[in-house]
Amino acid sequence: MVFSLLGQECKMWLKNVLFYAYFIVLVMFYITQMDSSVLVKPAPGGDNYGIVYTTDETAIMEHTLENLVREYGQRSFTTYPIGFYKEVIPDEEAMRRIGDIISEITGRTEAQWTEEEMPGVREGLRFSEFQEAMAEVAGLIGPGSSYSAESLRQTGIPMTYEQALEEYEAICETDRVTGAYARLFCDYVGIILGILPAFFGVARVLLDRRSQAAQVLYTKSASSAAVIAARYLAMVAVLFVPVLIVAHFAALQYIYVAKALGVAPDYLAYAKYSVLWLLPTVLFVTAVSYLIAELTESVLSVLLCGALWFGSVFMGSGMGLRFVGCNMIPRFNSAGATEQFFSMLPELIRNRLAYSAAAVFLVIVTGLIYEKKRRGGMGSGRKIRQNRTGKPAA
Amino acid sequence: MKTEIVLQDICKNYGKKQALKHLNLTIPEGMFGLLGRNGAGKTTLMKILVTLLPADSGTASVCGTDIRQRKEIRAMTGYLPQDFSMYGGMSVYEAMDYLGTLSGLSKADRRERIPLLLEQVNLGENYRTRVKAMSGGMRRRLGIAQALLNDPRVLIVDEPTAGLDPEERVRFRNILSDIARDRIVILSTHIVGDIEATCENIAVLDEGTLRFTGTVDELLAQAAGKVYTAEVSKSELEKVKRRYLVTAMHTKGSRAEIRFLSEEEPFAGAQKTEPDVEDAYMYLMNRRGEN
Repeated sequence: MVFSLLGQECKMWLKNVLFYAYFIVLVMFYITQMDSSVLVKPAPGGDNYGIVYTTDETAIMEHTLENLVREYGQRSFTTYPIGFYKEVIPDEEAMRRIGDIISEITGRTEAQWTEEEMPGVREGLRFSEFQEAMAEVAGLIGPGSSYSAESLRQTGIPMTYEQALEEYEAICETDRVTGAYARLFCDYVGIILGILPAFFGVARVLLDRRSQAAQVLYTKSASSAAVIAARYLAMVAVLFVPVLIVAHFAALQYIYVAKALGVAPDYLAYAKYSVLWLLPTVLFVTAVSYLIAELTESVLSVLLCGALWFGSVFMGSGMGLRFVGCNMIPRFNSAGATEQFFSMLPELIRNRLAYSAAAVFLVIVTGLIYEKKRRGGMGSGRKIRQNRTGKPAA
Repeated sequence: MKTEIVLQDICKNYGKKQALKHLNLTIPEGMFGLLGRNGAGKTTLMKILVTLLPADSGTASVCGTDIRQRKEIRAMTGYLPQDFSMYGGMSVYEAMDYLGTLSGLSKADRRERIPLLLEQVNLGENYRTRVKAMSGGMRRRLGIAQALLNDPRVLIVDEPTAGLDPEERVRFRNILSDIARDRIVILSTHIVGDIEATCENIAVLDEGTLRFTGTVDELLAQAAGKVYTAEVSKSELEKVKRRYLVTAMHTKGSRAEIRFLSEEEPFAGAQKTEPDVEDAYMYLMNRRGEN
């Protein structure tokens, strides 16, 4: 019965304008947001090989100081407090203190370090001292600056030719080109999949309510578990199949690139990454949305999912967009950094399994709520309420 | 197993409001009319019978099966709520197919049964009609067809003719009468004409209490000798209405033909007449204070 019902539910979605709106938004998001840069082998003597995140303390101090002196000179600081750009112009007192901090870490007066093209930190300055100084600067400027502890951990420095070549080789050999770009695809598409499924859970529940079909459906002999499982799986199917379709077209481009570079592409890389990375997001958001909608029979579900999405998107905004942790939307905003990705992979797998398990749990709870409603445990009908309040239905 | 529904001491409260008060009732095979005002407890009783509501106390069984065995009860009952509808975007056939799946029918059974049922309710030409494009009467007929998908031993129909035009109402009554063979059909309504045309056995509910149960003839017998007709002037009409319960009135110029209830011989010129179900129902409900 579940499979038969699943097929009928999918058919219903294919007639629903929401499905097509979702598909269009997904495609448009992919087209407009995805980085379409072409992979080329780095040549020696180039001007710019991109950036690499470093853990070298000296490099971090030099790069951060350079940035601080520049922004101080402009009397304007760039911040991203909740992920959005915000320019901060500190008051005179704060500016004076920032100037003093720069003097302390350079060991020179302001007149001296403003004369220099690229002032360095004073000899013997410990990294911990530097971190304390930057924490004070971050406090003066406000959240989301380049001087917060999170930002220091993700300091990007210009890549050398050797590093660029090493990254290129890792992309070709370890990732077989397609794997690296599949990760980038998942990073972008994951953002939008963190919210769009919310509309489906609500729409499914409100469809019963608007069409006044619930009471007839409740009295049929199908078990609540079968009904909820079929509906949930149908939503997941109609949400995820378009992802696989878009992923397939995205893969074609990099299969071509890989072949042009003489690399044997992994034809299933996009599908594998999508299932590992994106499917748990779809499972979880759909489950949250469906549960809240079944409980409240309102659009409150979308608002709650929106809040969850907002928190997830900006959880890693100060972490160089390479962040897993407990985030619903893991980020890895890079086609390279293969080694870093594979070091994060176990954490990513744990995260994705946890969200999948949570989704299963939420669906079971949804089934219990649905069964309670069928038994009259959560509201007992419009007509009875009307009669009780003296407004007869007929 | 005997085809009957047995309710014993059923109570149902909504907060402080008592919707059903110690209800005892046996519903036999055939068409059974459940009559009562809005708010009398009819919908509550039907929802208990189709497992949409639990009774607070008492016991109930449907064809020998305890009402608490929900899965079994759902498999043997069909339900048509008053405000029945289905997903507007579905065609008639798709709606039946979907509900047939929920009723546990296999694909082969659905293919065989759905056309037969649609023919039975005169929707044989409407397979592809969208639910949202159907008239109220067509929708109710679809409602009956879906309620019969699992070939239920008990069919429960809530206010099926409310809002239908006379032609559609007659057609609907005939369909119900046709399908009442070998099963229980409970017809809940506050329209006395529906009961008169279709039911042999009835129950009358009033504020959660059973006021009457028996055959239509027994109900009529209670009002026998209490129904009169008379022709009065319009000036006398108000006085008559204050003294007697007028059940029908037809004005003709300055005079009015009235039908009314009276326990004793009324004024001169009034003639005793045979009661109809509406008279008997009004007589029963009007006697309420006497019990």
